[in-house]
Amino acid sequence: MKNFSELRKNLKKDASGLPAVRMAITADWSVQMLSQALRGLGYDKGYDVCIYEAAIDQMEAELLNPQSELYAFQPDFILFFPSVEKLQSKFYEKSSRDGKGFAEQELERLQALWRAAGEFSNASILCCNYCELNDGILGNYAAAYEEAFLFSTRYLNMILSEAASAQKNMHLIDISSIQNQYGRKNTFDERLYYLSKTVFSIEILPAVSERILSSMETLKGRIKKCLVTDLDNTIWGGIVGDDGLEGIQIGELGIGKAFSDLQQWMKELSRRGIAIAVCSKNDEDKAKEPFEKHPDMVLKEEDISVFIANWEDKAANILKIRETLNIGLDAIVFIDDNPFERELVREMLPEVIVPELPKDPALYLAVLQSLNLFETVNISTEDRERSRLYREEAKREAERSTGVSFEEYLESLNMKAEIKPFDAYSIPRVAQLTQRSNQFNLRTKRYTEQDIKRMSDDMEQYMTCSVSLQDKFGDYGLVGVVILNKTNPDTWFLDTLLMSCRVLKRGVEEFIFNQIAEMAIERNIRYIIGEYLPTAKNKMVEDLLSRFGFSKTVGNLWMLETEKYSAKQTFVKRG
Amino acid sequence: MDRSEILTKLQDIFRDFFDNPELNLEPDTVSDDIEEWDSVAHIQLIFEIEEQFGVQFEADDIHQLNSISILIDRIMELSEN
Repeated sequence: MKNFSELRKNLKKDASGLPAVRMAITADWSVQMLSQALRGLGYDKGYDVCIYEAAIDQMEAELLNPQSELYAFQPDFILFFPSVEKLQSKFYEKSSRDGKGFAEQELERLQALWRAAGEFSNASILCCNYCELNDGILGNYAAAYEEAFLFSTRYLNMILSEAASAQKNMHLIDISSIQNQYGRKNTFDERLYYLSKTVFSIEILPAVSERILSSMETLKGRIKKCLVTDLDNTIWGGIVGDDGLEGIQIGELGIGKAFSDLQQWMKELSRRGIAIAVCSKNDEDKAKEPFEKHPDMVLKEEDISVFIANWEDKAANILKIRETLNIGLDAIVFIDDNPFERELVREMLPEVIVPELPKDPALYLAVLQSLNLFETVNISTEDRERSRLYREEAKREAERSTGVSFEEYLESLNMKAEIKPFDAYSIPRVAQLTQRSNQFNLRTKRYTEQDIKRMSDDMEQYMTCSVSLQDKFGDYGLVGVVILNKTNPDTWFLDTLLMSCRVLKRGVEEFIFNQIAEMAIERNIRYIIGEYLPTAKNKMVEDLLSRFGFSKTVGNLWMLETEKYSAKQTFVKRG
Repeated sequence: MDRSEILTKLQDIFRDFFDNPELNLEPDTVSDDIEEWDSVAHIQLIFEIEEQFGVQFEADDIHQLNSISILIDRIMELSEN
């Protein structure tokens, strides 16, 4: 994003050939610099933004009088920009401290102004919400105390949101989230405020303007409808054609999680009605394989509206996608890790939005989220239908907090665990888990992928199990690893037992031991030897073997007679 | 930095800020001599000068920095400390 002085320089450029947008701003702070930023940014977005600045803190005079200068300006948009600073001084002036009542009065005042604006003009109404501010008078208690200013502001923001969702011609600009994102330290400049009554720092004005203009653009029909994404090293780590299906990075561990999170974001976009299209330089069958077969892919084939994988140039492919979906090029956002492809698309198709991605994939999602690429002012019926599924999910979540016992809750989760020998998909994750898991880990033996593969191939000697868990809310992926070494024809040595801490206290360990004992008896194994090797971090499994009926032999060694094992209660079922 | 070096650097900052490569500063130049140097531009300009010189003026002082000679005085004072 350009900084303020760069935007300011646009003001000298001739914008008269661009489509004009007339915006009236009514605020209780000094908006001169904001207007400069809006005009400068508007120029970059291809608009001649003309601004009428109402006199400071004169909302009533300008809006309730149909003959006012504001209405004479014939604005397309009226921006209401009340500040938390002004709100605060009004709050302090009140003799009584009724946080909710105060907020309701402020809302009523704004609603009266919006009604007048609706009556006396055809303008769309934009209204900013409030930055939230702890005034240091009550500390944390301000968040819980109805007479506190912070409580009042938050309540006002909430009822503003409700009012906006009920009122069609009023659109809320979420200024509060800008302060959340950048921090008050960066969004507010005390000297600037005391010298000029500007309530935002010069550095943050471009971001504030971006928020406002993106709603403006959306209302003018310029909306994004499609996200076109590359595959290799963009939505998973590695190159599926070179590294193979099992070699790509995706899933819960390490950097794979960053790609999973990015895919989850895309899935959320598709749920709210953004078409997701794939544009990849790949053989089609190779590109589709992860979608069909990789267990950790969040995006599935049915989430993808158009799937193009070939060796043609990406600009040509994006044109095909546009044709298939019948949308404008300016409705498309294209993401790709490769700077060459980005530059090519920018050159050939300048209307397509091509965000610059950082080098490190860990940062992709944060950057994309910060760009506010998918602004919208409403959600269509079609989108709402999709969001029905969402609401059902929310109901399930709510069960958690209803007063059932912990056992009943566990039972209601419908947990299903899959336990099976290591395979090509699980081997990289199993190896990673042995390398990283510290707490629930009996012997903390670290293994490479080759080690794991060797053991899993040697089925005479080793019994290997990976445990994956899912419940009715979703999939946890691979959460447990067991390696048993047949040291005698009738004896297994518990070489590795580890579990992800995310699933502690769910009955997974009970499930695992029950399964081990069952398998042992099936295979005529009479004894299982376990060992606890203490480390600085694995104290939580100190008593594990004794809990499951092992008795101490020598040193750190424990033994279980499989015939004598009594199955433990668990709500985890074999899936 | 001596006064003339500060003046040269200020001139670069002013030229860039007002997007005017012809602009010439003299020690006795005041804000009224430059049409675009109004109150809104003033604060932005001062912030730019602070950044370029690595100094910070006190809020109450900023309005008085409306001549080049005062600016040079202040910058010299602050850089000495």
